[in-house]
Amino acid sequence: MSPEIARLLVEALGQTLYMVAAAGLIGTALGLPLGVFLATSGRGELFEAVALNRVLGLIVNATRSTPFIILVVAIIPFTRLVAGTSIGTTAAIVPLTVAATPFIARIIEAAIREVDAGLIEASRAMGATPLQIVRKVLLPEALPAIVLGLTLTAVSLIGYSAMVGAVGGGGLGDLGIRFGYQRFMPEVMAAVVIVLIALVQAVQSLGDWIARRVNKRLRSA
Amino acid sequence: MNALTPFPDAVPLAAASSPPDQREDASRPHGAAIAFSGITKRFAATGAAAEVVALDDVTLDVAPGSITGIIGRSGAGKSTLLRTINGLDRPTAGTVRIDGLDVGALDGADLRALRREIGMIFQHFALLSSRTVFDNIALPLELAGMPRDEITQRVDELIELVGLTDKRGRYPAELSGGQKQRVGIARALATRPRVLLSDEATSALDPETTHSILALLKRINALTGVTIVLITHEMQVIKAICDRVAVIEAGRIIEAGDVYEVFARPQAETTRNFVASVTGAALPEAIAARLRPDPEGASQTVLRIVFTGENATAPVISRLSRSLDVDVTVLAGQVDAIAGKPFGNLIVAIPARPDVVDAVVALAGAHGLQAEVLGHVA
Repeated sequence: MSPEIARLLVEALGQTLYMVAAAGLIGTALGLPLGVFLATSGRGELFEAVALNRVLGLIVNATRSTPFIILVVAIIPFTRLVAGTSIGTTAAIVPLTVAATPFIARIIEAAIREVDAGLIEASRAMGATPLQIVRKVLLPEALPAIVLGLTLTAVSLIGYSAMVGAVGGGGLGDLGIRFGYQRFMPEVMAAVVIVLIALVQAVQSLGDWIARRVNKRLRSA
Repeated sequence: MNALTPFPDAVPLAAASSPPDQREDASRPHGAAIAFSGITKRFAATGAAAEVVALDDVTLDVAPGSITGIIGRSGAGKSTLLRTINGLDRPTAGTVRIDGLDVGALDGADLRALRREIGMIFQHFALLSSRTVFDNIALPLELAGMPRDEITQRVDELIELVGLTDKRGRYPAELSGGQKQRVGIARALATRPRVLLSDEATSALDPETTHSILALLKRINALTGVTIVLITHEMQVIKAICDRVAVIEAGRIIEAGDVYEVFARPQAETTRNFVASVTGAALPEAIAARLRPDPEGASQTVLRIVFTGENATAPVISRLSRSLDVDVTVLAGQVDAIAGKPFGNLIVAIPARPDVVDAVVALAGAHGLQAEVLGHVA
């Protein structure tokens, strides 16, 4: 492999990490409250708001059912509004975040719904406010599941980031397509795939490790 | 709003601003009185399911500082009744008053302040798996906004009270059922409540652990004067620690009173069955199957003799056989202590002659015991 290709590979890896990290962080910042709300606003729940719950649920589903590559081009005007441009790595963070947010929201929702209802009742009996129940009980108890879910999101984002080459986003996937496929350089394709495998493996291992650390349920005495 | 409190110097309920420390004084009981009045709870019909009446016009008084047990089979409504005390369930009609304070009239911050004065323990403990023993007990104090150093002091006190000093930094997954319930009890007591609610707290525990948890509850009641209301389906629990008992069936209180009285003279059929389950007063099945109400042609008459009060230890059986020259066969029986007083229950067989039976019943009565003819066997 020429030094030139190696340099491109490092640069693409940096772009991928940048896009995934930024979309993951912003997506979590938006998806976390959304997920908490989805999990606690049904009938008879802490922040009962059945109609709003249903509307938000519909929006989340609509976003999640749109194929990512279509989403990328469909929201170009919105991307331009937010990022000032619709082309480039930073601009690509916008569609990645739009795709990640509902995904994360559903993961947070599922994790919170797994928390034993008896704990919510016990906290109410202690005089906890709904916000205290979310902060002190639901989120800490759901944390292991949330960490695993966010790991899954990060892996999915790595996959999605391969498609943002369509809007000049760069990254590993884009490198693989442009050099490996369009310029007939199979060794670049192979290198890209190996780096992606290693990256996903590393993300998954890190996520598993953190989830184990925060999970106090299955400890042996 | 608290004019009816029987303790003039007690801090009013639902007064969140008062520091909890001023409330505890071991020399003075500070448990609250609870009064249920006409409590009815209906669950609306949903789809094919008909409307359910969980509680039907329940009126019951719980004395301050008492340990009151509510016993009933599953689905009898006891859990719903317990939950009306801290407003987790709202009655459809009727009121619950705690030291005169109407729970149903409270909402929002007032209700949360009241709940801090009512501890609750649960059948499945309801501990946070993500928190250590220390942090689980600290949770209600954090919720109440207590400063960290005061929390540490209070929680360490409680850990010692329930005997878990060596488990301070452990997680619930590392504890046995009995230890988890001790954490639950410590957590429920953290805010120095005036009422402690126990929702089948020993139902998930083995008999030996049950015994130690009940002993702990009794000790806490004696130490702090907290009013304990517990629900259970086991008469053993009532027998072990309660002063007063209410029997609930199909949403109605069918019998209520002093535990000793109810054990000695159960009125309703359900109560008799509950009492028989722990007093050894159950008829052996082989005999129960042969028992018939008609004395005609019978050779033996089966009697239940209940020993209560100071007569519980009287040597009545030997006197019976000596003075009446009757052969007495003991079929089942047990002598026990209930609410700290001796209590015996014997099932005996005597010859089926009307004069003998009348004489035995009369002699028992003369000793202040109750004798009741259960039936006759051939």
